[in-house]
Formats: sequence, C-alpha cells, structure tokens
Amino acid sequence: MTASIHIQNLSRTLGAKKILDGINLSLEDGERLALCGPSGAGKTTLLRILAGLEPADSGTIQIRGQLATKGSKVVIPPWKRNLQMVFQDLGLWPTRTVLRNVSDALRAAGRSKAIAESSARTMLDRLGILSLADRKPATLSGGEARRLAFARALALEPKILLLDEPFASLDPEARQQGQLLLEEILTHTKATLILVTHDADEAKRLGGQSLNLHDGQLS
Amino acid sequence: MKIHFLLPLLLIAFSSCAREADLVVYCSLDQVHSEKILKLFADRTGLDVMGAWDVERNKTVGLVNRLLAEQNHPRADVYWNNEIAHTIRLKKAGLTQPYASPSAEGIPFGYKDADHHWTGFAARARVFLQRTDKEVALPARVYEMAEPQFARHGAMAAPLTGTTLTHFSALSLNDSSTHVLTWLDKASQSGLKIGAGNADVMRRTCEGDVDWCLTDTDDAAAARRNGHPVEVVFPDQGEGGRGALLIPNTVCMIANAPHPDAARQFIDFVLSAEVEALLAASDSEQIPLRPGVDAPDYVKLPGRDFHATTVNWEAVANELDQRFPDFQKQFVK
Amino acid sequence: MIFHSGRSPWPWRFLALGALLLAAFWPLAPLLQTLLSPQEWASIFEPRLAGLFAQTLWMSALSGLIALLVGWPTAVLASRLHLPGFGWLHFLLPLPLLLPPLLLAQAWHGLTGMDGPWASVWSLGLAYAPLSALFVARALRHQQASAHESTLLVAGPRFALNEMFRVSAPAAILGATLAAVFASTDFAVPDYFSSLGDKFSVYPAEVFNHWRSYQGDPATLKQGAAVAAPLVAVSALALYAAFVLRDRAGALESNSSRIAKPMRCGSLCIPLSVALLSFSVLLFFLPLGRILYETGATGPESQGSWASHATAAFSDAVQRGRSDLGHSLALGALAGAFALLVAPFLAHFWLQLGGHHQPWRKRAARLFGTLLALPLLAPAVGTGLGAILAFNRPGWEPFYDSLLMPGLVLGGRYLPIAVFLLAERMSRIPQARIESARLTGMPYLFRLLYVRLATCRDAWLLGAGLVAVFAIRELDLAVLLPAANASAAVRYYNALHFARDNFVAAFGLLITLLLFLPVAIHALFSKPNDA
Repeated sequence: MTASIHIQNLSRTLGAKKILDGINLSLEDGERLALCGPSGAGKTTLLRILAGLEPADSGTIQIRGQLATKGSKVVIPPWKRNLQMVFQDLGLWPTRTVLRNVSDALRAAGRSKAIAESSARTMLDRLGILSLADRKPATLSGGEARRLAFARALALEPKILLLDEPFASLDPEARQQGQLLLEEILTHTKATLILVTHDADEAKRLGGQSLNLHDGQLS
Repeated sequence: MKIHFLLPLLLIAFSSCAREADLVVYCSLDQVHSEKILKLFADRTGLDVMGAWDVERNKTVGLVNRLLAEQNHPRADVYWNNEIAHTIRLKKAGLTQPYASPSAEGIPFGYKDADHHWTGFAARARVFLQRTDKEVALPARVYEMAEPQFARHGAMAAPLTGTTLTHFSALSLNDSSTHVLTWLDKASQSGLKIGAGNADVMRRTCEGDVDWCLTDTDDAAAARRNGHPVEVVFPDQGEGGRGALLIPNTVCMIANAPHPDAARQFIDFVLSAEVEALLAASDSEQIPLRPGVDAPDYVKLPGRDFHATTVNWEAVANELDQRFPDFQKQFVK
Repeated sequence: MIFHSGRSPWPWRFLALGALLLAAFWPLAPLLQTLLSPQEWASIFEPRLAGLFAQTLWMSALSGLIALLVGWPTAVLASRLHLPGFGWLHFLLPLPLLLPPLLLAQAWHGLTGMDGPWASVWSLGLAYAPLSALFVARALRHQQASAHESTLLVAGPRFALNEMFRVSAPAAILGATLAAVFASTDFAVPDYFSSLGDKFSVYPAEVFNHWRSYQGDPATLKQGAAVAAPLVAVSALALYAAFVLRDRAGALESNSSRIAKPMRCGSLCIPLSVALLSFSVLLFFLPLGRILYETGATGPESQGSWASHATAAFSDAVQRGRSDLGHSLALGALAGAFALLVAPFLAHFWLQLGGHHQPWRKRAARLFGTLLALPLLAPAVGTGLGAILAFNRPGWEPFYDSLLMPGLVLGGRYLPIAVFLLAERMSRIPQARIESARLTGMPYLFRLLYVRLATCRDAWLLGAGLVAVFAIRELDLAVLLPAANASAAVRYYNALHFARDNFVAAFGLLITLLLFLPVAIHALFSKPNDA
C-alpha cells in the first residue's frame, strides 16, 4: 500500500538555526498525527513545506507515491497536492462573505456555480454557521471565524488536512466543541491529518500517533 | 521615531526666516530673457532685486491677479508686462502710480501713457510664419486668412489670451465688433486651425502640420533658431495695408510700492536704449521702439523694414474687456 | 472635557486640526463664502457651461478608468509576483507622477501624433495611473500571508491573483478617484491637445477664465468660486462614494507579522511577464524615451548632432535651474514636513471616528474624509488668491515672504493624500497591540509614535513624500505665492512658452531624476519586509 505522506531525511535551516534536521515520517491514508513541541520548534515550517508553500534544503516528500518536494525544488505545486491547511491565523478572505469564502473556493476548484453554492451551504450548516452566510469575516467572533476556516478547508474534500494550532485561542468549552466537530468530520472524510498543537490532552484525544518535534528532530 | 517629528519642526523653524529685498519686480516676459536684465541692474546698483515670473499656461494673468489680490498691502514695486492690455487694466483699477521716466524720452508717443502710469518699450510684431521648404499659399492680410485657398493650410491661436486677444480686440475697435465676430465665425468654419497659443501654432508649422501661421516675432525667432525651414512675413503691408501690429512690453510702478526709489531707478534702466538693444540681441529678438537703437540685422525695424499700424491702447484695452466674453462664447465650447 | 496627563489624544488633535485650518482652510474662506451668496450661483446655470461640465465629467471619469485599468494590474504584477527580471519595476511605480503632465502629453503626441479629447483622456489617465498603483501596492503589501497562501492551496496562481485584485480593489478605486479628480482640474493638457486637432474645451478652463473677472476684492473672487463649485461638489461626491465602497469591502487586520512572499506563477509566468512589460512600456519607457529624444531634437536646418544638442540642453538646465530646483526641494520638504507632523493625528482621528460599527460613525468618518479633501479639490488659483487675502497683512511680512507660507498652504492642500495612505495602513495594525500599549498607561503621543507609527513608517514616509512631490509639481499656487515663485515648476512652464523644447525636456527629466533619487535610494536600502 502507498503511504499518504512519506517524508525522508527532510532538513531546513532558517538563518543560523537548523529548524528541521533529517526528519523521517510516513503516514498512511486516514492516519492521524499530532505534532507537539515548544514554540519555534519548526512545527509550522514542517506543515508549510508539506503544503508546498516553502521549499526544503534537502530531503524528499512523497505524497501518495508521487515526488512532491525534492530539496529546494517544489516539484508538485501546492494547488496540485490535494491537501488543505487551516492556518494559525486562519487566512480567511476578507472581502468575501462567509458563504463566498466557501463557495468561491469550490468554484475555483472547478465545481459548477450551483453545486458550489449548495455544497457550501451544506458545509456551513454542518458547522453551525449557515446563519452567518452573508456576514464578512471581520464581523465574526474568534470561534465563528475558526469554523469558517474549517468549513472552507473541508468543503474541498482534501485527502490530507493540515491543522496549525486550530483551537489555540479558544476557551475550554469552544475548544471541546471544536474537537468534537473535528472528530466527527474526520470520521466522515477519512482524510490523513496532521495537527500541530501545544496541548498534550488534545493530542491524546485525537487518537492517532503523537510525536514531539524538538531541536529539529522527531521523537 | 522621534527624529521624524523633530526634523520637520526644525525645518519649519528655519524656513520662517524671509529675506527683505531692496526691489521687487513682477515680470511677465520670459524668464530666460528678463532675468538677465534684472541681474545686470542688480550688479550695477548693488541692490538686492527679487523677481517673480508668470507662465503662459496661466494665460499670463497670474501676476496680475497677484497684484490685484495684494492691492491693500502691495509687495511689488514694479510690474514689467510683456504685453499692454493688463497693464492698462491695472491702471484702471488704481494699482499703478505715475512716473515720467527721463529714459522714456525717445520712445514714440503712441507707446506711452499720457498720464505716465506706464511706458512701452521693446515690442513683438504680429506676423505670418511660413515654411520655406515648399510652395506656400500665404495670405497677404490678416482678414484673408479665412479665404478657402489659404485657410486649410494655416493656423492661428484662439483670441482668448495674450497677443492674439489684444490683436483681435484692436481689429474689433477699428473695424467694429460685428465685423470681427462674423469673421472669426467664418474663420472657424473655413478649415483654419485654431490653436491654444502662438507657440502652439508655431510648433505645428515647424512640424509641417500647416504651411503657415499667425504668430509673434519672438515665437518665429525661436522656430528659426531651432533649425526649422521658416521665415517671417509681415501682414497688411503695401498699398492700402494698415500695417503690422506691434505689441510692446510695458513697465509701470505699483501704487504705494514699498521701495519707490529703487522702483524709479529700475524703470529708468529698463526703458534705456541699452536694454532695448539687449532685448533685440536676445533670442526673443524684441523690436526696439525708439529709433536709432543698435539692433542686429535680422531684427526687422518698423519704418525701415515694415509698416506698423498705430493704435489707441487705452481704447483697445476697453474693447478687450467688452469682447472677451464674446470670444469666450465662440471658442470655449 | 478633562484631559488626563497626556493620555488624552484631544490636545494633539486640536493642534493638528488648528494647523490644518490655518494652512488649508483659512485660504479657502473667501471661496467658501460663495456658499452663502446664492446670487453668485445664477452664473453657473448656462447651457454652454452645462455642456463643458458634462464633457469634463466624462473625460475625467475615463482618465480615472485608465488610471485604474493600468495602475491596478501594474501594481499587482510589479509588487507581488515573482517574475524574472522585474524585481526592480515596483521602484519605478511613482515615476510618471514626478513628470509634469504637460511634458507627458507632449511625449505622447510626439510618439503617436494623437490629438483631441481622447488624447487628453489617455495622457492624463497614464499620468495619474501611479496614484492608483501606489495605493494598490500599499494595500497588497499587507495582505495577510495566510489568506494569500490559502488561495494557492485552493486553486493556484490564477485564484491567488483574483484574490489580490479583490483585496486591493478599494485602494485601487480610491487612487483612481483621486486620479480622476486631478484630471478634472487640469486644463493645460486638454488645451494642448485641443490646439493640435479637434477643438474642444473643458470646464476648468472656464473656471480659470472666471478668475479674470477678479478685481482684487473678495466679492469678485466669488464669481470664480461659484463656477468652480459644481466641479468641487462632484469630486467630493466621487470621493465619498469611494469611501463607501472601501467600508463595504471590509478588511481584516493583519495579525501576523509574516508578509506574503512574491508569488511564483508557474505556467502563467510568460503571459504575466508580457503583460507587465507592456504596462511598463506604456507608463515609463515610451514617454521617458521620447522626452529623452526631445532633449536633442531640432529642425532639419540645425547644426550639430542630437548628442551635442542634448548635452547643451542638460548643461543649460543644470546651470539655469539649479537654484530653482534647490528652492523647490526646500518647498517640497516643508510641505512634506507639515504632512509628517499633522497626518498621523488626523489619520488616527479619522480611523477612530469610523472604527466602530455604528452606521452614523461610519458616515461621519466618510464626511470627515471628504471635508479633509476639500483643499485638494478646490481650484488652485482660488486657493492662491485666498492665501494672499488671508496672509498679506501689515506686520505679517516675514511670514508672508518666507518659504513657510507656501510650504504650509501646499502641505495643507495635499495633506489628504498622506492621511488616506496612513489611515489605510493604520487600520491593519492588530488591535491587541494597540490595547496592550494603552494598558501600560503610555501617554497618547508615545502610543502614536512607538506603536502605530513605528508599524506604519513606510506609509507615513510615503504619504509625506507624495505631498512633497505634489507641492514641487504645483504651478498655479507657485506663481501666486511669493516665496514659491522661484521654483522649478515656474521655470519649467515659463520655458514651455518660448519653444525652448530641448531645455524643457532636459529640465523636466532633471526634476524627475532629482525627485526620484530618494525613492530609489529608499527602495534599494530598505528590507523587503520593512513594514
């Protein structure tokens, strides 16, 4: 069986600091990984290299058997990797409404206008923010904005989902709700997941493997 | 970050110190020619002379407006106008004061104010400029410009500004406003190109858009000096011709001028034969008004090389004020 | 009102508003009196004027549209894409703004032989396209990196480009509106193209001609002001509409210090390079090339080569224009200094006024922005005459004759540009950063300096720089205000009259080079993410 993600000997240096030092990692389809570690350990950098947003210095990444990154060369560009990422600061599109943040993503990915809009509405409904469909992201609360970021990423049905501290700034109740929501979605989509978190409980609750990134190495 | 606030404050503090000049001259003649005269005067007298200049884009009324706005507390001593109508306008507004300069002795009477408020000197003539590298059908008189055989090949400036406005106001005074307005209407329909200013129509002649244009001698001199195959022809000459119009520079002393002695000294200087000779020898080739001034051969002189018409300038200035709205209605559409 | 030991912004705001009133609104007072004199309005209801007005409106709207269609994509392509060999093009964005519009018009006529109203629309549109481009470049610089990257993950460069255009649309429209406003008040360029081909006239020429009836007292000044009023009113409405669009677009503050990197375009690289090259040719290379050619161009009977004429023209320009250039730079520096001092307080006040979700506050903020722009919209000749009436008083000579007076008047006139740029940038500072500074008890001035302005230094300096550039380019006011008369703009336009074409082209290029030098130095030495 071909691994969903296969990282081999990946290294990255920023300035004088070696952020990633010979990382090796393999994840099967639907597998979940919680990536823990102190701030500045390189967790986000690893996700970005995996997404194709940044090159590495050396090493390779294969996604579903295809060479995606080889050293400093991004072989498969981000939009062809069939993965989505929820950024720490969400990366919502400020000029589009809640509905269009999702439906425009679907249209850009090739869905027809009617399908894009109905799928977007369904996804917003599932995440409980359909009533906010006509609002702009700037008017949403922190929790609502986070749901929208999830909705947009999940609506595209990616094979791989990268989450960069998605519940970091939420209160305990909202965080628990978010985690339940994520669990429900993952059960439904069977996407491979890498979750970056500082929270050991959160990592445990995810139910997959949990690795610590420290001094550029996984343990 | 503080430096971004402190530096501007220092700059503002330093800039609040102004120098007090010994003489302030507002000047409408092109800076490149007139500043040499101002400098010569300053060098000879040791006075600190401050000049201010106008621009054609403003239809050369910027300084007149400034003089009008400053009338309650005048800052200028002398106004050197490259034309005449606005000087008379200032006189009528009570902004000038009389000064009979001894240097004005030799200047013909028609170019001097009877009350000594202004004096004319060094003039420009209204002329045809034609190309010499081709056979050109050139009108002999200004009114012939609208005839079909000439009009399609020629250009003139709209009579909304400068010497063209003065020229057509003079024609209106002589031949009646109805005659001139009807002619202008005919000219607009005839295919004659109407430009924004004399320099514009001169450029079009140089570029070959038209074969000839009605312009001033200083523009014609610039065209020749820039290497274009052109020559000047004086209109309305020969038997029955009324003669070419000469439009002089004028100088006047501002009422309640802050530095009256220096103003008189400067007016004496600028009206001298020496300055007329300097302006004749300059690139603008101004035509001396007084006889016997030493001018280069290529500067054509009235009486010797062409016949000039005589004009009542006060009446022309009045006519200009009355006709301007008519011209504006005809040409600003 | 009680002010708490330097924590209240109001003393500083009152100072800034006072400076603005003195510099920009006092000179307008005689013109504003027109609003109270209904009898003056009768003169503007004339069919001929209505025709001129309509002509000016469509011409300036089209010039604004050209500024939008050229400036917007040029800024997106030059500032946010990784196109090989084009890294330095965004330095050149302000360049056409530094050239006198009439010089650009002459260059376009020389290149293409164009004339008539369409030539005027084209030439003015391109002359002011950098305004739109600069506003767009600033807005894009602070697009949230993750928002950009998520577009790449979703659908690639095409969609990312789409988002860049959407995010920068309000800035592009505001810049283009300002371009249309500038185009609507220019009569020299239409006059020039009218003299070359089809006859046409524009409303500002009529406004200008009405100053001829000025007889030295405020009453006659009103006739010109009354004729100018409809153009000012329409410009103000256009600006208000641009503010409405900006408010509706909505914006997220940039919580991340990460600035999006220039995007690699993959297969779009070649078509986008061709597009950027085409825009650059239109904006910079063609007109500048023609102007350079003009420095040595002469008639067929002239002696000497092009190079000898060009060398002579540049040498003449340096020799004659040196002191005027120095004077202009000092004047520009003063106007820029005024903007540097006053703009932060007004930008912050404006931002706070509209920074709440109540509709009435949004409306009040838009009105304040439009009011702030009034000196910019008012005709320059009227402002100049108003400044003389306001400041030429016995005992005021040292101020009236000093460079400070025109520096203040010009600084006040162009201040809105600096305020708009700075406010746009300030609105993207994370609220948490501001609130944490407030919690420390830091006095208002320190908060403004070390929290807001430290983050917005680039927009602050750019705004002041633009005010300086417009002050240096200003002609109508320079003729009227004493210490501004010995300026490069007056010498340049004075020489234009006398067909000294080589000198004019060389001097125009010299002015541009001198103004561009600090921009280039700043661009070369600033870090790419120096925000």
